[in-house]
Amino acid sequence: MTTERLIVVTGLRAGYTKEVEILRGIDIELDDHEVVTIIGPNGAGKSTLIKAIFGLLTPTAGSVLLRGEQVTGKKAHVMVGKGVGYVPQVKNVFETLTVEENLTMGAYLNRANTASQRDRLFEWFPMLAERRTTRAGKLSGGQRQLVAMARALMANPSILLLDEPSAGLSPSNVDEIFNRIREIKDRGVSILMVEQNARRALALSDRGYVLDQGTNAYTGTGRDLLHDPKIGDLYLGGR
Amino acid sequence: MLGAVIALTAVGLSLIFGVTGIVNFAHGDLVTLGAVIALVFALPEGEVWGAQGLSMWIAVPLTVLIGFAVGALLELALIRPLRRRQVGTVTMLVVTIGLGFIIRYGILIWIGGSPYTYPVPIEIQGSYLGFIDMTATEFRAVVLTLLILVGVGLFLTKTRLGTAMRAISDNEDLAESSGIDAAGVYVATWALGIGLAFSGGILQGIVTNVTWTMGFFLLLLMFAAVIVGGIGNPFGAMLGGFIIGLVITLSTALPVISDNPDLRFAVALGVMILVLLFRPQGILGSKERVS
Ligand SMILES: Nc1ncnc2c1ncn2[C@@H]1O[C@H](COP(=O)(O)OP(=O)(O)OP(=O)(O)O)[C@@H](O)[C@H]1O
Ligand SMILES: [Mg+2]
Repeated sequence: MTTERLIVVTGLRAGYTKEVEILRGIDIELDDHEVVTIIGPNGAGKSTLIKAIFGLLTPTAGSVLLRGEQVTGKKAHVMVGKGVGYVPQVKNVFETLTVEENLTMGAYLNRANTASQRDRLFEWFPMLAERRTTRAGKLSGGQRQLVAMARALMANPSILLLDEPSAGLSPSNVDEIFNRIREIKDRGVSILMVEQNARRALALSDRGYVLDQGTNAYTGTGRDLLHDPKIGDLYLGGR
Repeated sequence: MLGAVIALTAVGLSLIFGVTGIVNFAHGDLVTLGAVIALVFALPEGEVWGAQGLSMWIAVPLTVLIGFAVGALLELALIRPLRRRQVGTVTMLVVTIGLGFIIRYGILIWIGGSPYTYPVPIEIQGSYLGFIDMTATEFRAVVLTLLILVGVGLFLTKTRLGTAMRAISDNEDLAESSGIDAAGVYVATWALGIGLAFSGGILQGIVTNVTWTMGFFLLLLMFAAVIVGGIGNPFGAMLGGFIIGLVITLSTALPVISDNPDLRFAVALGVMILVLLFRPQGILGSKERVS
């Protein structure tokens, strides 16, 4: 069986202003049914990379192929239509909307199935069902992260881009999030995520990339990266 | 009654700002434009250029429809090209001021400087405490306005498009990331906002009269309503509109103000400042918005 290349990023360059280039030629791949983690120091450009892939930021050079199709510079709402979901690192819920409205918005392009998909997610995340009429801005960090993931799942994506899903959460919430990520993977969704909690993320990843100063520093299987002493010292905070 | 008109027009101002980030200084003059278009449809032929002599029952709905179209057209033909060229906030602001100016003086040329009344029977004006003791026309206009506002509220909370408008005002990137084409929602927002502005103009014209500056004078009060209610919250704008309107109506009972009607504006702004002192985010504004 050949595995399909879902995302192929080559030589991607991007920045927020003309003067400062944040991504300076990045190559990354995500295969079908894979979980791939990107790690790297603060400010390496990890979030910028995800945004550039997803179309929230227009790349200045390089290309993004989605299932072989050229999607470089396509807008985010178009990417959603092509089966890509995205959970941002910050501001990842509509704070003034209720939990239920957050989910409804997630299914904006999946109108006909909104109700059934919502019920399925409420079953999967019972906490959200209990708080369906609560404004998302009133929820705790862990709850928000679940709302954010559920919102992205409403469109029934085949690829999920997660930007630091466990950042700033309490240990028990971190456990829950990593369990959820595993469940999402088990339902057949391919995942490209950025994580600071590198050991745990790499442990459930097929492959990993280390990003530093806007370029690829290392690439390998999750296990290789975890056990590479150099990477341990430089990027995983020693051992 | 003034409160109802301010509420109706301020919602549009608030929505357009919340969703598209544009402070529309032409909003007041678009209110006038609505009143004038309905007037021209309704006036007997020959009275002003373009007069149609239509019944008000036809003129009013037709004008509101034109309001939706004007709003959509403004977005598509003016605002969108400017945004594409990445025009800054201040430039955009000046553009809307200029637009208001053009509309205002266009109307002056069209209908002249003297006031007109719609060809509908108007009862004798009640006493100054108008909100208790209002004329039948005024009463009907208030009820109609309330119905429209409830409709807008239901649209914003119960429909997919209305919720998308709130989602974009909350977090545009996240809205795009959810599959919402913000550019399309911008058009709908302008259409709705200007449709409401036109409706407000017509209602104001029915209870008082139509002049070329009627909406321009309302602009400041609309801004006060938006700020009092909480910037970016359309329900706040409705509430703020009624508060500002009520305060002004009540204040005209004071002799100083009834002698100098322009002091109304000072009173409205005084209320605005007072609210801001105690609740900087406005009555229904959320704390996070104050940055
Ligand atoms: N909206 C923005 N406008 C301008 N510069 C930005 C913006 N967002 C990020 N940057 C800059 O881009 C660089 C890379 O930021 P990015 O958020 O991609 O890093 P990151 O690897 O995700 O870091 P972190 O681990 O802190 O999330 C940083 O120097 C940052 O200051
Ligand atoms: Mg980041």
